[in-house]
Amino acid sequence: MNLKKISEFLLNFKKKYIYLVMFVLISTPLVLKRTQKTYETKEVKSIYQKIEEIYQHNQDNPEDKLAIFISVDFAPSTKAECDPMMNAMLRHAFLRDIPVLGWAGVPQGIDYGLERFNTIAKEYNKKYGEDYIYLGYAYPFLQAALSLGTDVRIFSSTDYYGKDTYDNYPIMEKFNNYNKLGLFTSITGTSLAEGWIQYANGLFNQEVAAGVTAVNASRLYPFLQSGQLVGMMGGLKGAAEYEQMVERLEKKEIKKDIKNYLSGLYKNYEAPEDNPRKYDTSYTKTELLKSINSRKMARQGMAAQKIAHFYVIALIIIANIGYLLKKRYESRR
Amino acid sequence: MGLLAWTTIGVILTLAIFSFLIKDNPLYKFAEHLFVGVSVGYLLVVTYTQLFIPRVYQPTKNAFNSGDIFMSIWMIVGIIIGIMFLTRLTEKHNWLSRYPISITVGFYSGFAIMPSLYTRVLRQLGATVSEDGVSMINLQKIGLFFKNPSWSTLYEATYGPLIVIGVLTVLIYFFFSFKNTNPVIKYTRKPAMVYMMVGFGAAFGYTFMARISLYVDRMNFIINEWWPLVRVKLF
Repeated sequence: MNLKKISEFLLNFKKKYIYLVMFVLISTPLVLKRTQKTYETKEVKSIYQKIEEIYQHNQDNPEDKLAIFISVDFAPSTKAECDPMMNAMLRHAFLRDIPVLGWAGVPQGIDYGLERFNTIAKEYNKKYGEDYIYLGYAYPFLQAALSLGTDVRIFSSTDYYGKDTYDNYPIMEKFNNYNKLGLFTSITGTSLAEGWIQYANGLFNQEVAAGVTAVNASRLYPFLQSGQLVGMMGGLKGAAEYEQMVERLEKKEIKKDIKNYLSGLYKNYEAPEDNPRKYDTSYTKTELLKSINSRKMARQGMAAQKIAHFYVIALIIIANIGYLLKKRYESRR
Repeated sequence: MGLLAWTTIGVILTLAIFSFLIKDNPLYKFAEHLFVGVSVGYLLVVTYTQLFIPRVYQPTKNAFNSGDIFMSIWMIVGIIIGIMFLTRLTEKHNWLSRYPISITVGFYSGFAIMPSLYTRVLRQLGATVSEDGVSMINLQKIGLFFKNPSWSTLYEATYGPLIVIGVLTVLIYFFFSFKNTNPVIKYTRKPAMVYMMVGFGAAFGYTFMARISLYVDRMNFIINEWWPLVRVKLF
């Protein structure tokens, strides 16, 4: 057996072929629309349960409701992981009729975050300014975090659209500081989640959850263990878990096929003049497709991810065998 | 049709960036420069519409219109201090920029020190001693494992002690006041290294997952967003 030839073959795969195989492997489950069922971890479940607790609180105390705050602290460059987290969380809140406040912590996320808020709100016929609001760019961060300690309108006197938050929006009358927030969530590809833990939780004892890219996840585990974080969605896996839980809830609550539900949502609907929606009250074919697809985005990604992981493990093993053979061949010389 | 055109541009730019995997080429360079240009342009617009207008112009105008003299003066003082940053652009007056820098550094340090100490040191220290009011080194849990050995009792028994040992050994690893010959330093080096390697391994695994996610997202964009759009609009 020619050890030299085998080891040289194993150690000299051309880069472009490695990428080509990766492309084929990742594309296959996406083309076949395969989703990956995933096990649900304690840290993701606890965020879900927290929102369910807020729902229960709101049911029991309709005059003293709590809202949730979602800080869009990611740019489109990390949307792969953060987008499904935000979609799932917004869907969960809107399904449970929990008011949602939001803003963007990074400039590249401002318009993207607004687009997501309006798109998901449309799926549940939610009204801007009553059921949800988007306050634009939360900069400087520290002032934004501190303003929520008293009244966020001191900091965000206007919303994204430039309208006064004191006069125009009922949601801002009721929910404008940490006392009225059941949960603050930072969905981020940066270290901003640590900032929210430091100020919102550290100074104001606000319960904080985080949805972070996988790169940042390992840094946040100590905060979970110390109870400073209610829960954490880490990377695509965390997003897939939350997506799965919300899909279950949605099926239970809506009780019909999602395509039929969305198609019929705005039939015979006339938008009131006093509160025009921030979205078109109809669904085009492409919007329907996008909306349905976004419900399984993370789990489809996990199916592709799984194959990619196996592929890389195989490559590592092949390269190590190559090195062992090379070593053996060289020692024989 | 506009949506299809823009999405197609997105697909072309995605493929242009991926073409770098084969080799550097003009298409990649074009996409890269376009990205930088668009990002800077976007940031400029956002700074104006989302910062200058709502945080400077609008509140100042409101303060003047409502006759709130105190607020008006406060806003003007803030604007003057902010403008002083710009004096860095001139050689003659750049000393003026030290004032806003001092104010900013003082404000941020003042606000950061205590919460940072509390969040990153004191709370973490507490979490190394006890969790939910139960000591991390819990002899009862260890005893339970020996009485009823199973994976769950093993986890319960070792979870706390492993965290305590990990924190202590890694802290000692970075304690440079004694020579390596000191027995405490010498015998904790290897366990500390193991802990750190496990930490780095977990971080690397997560990072790999993140990078693959980015690729999956782009493929998802092409296969499940752009292609269905082409089918709906053109066929």
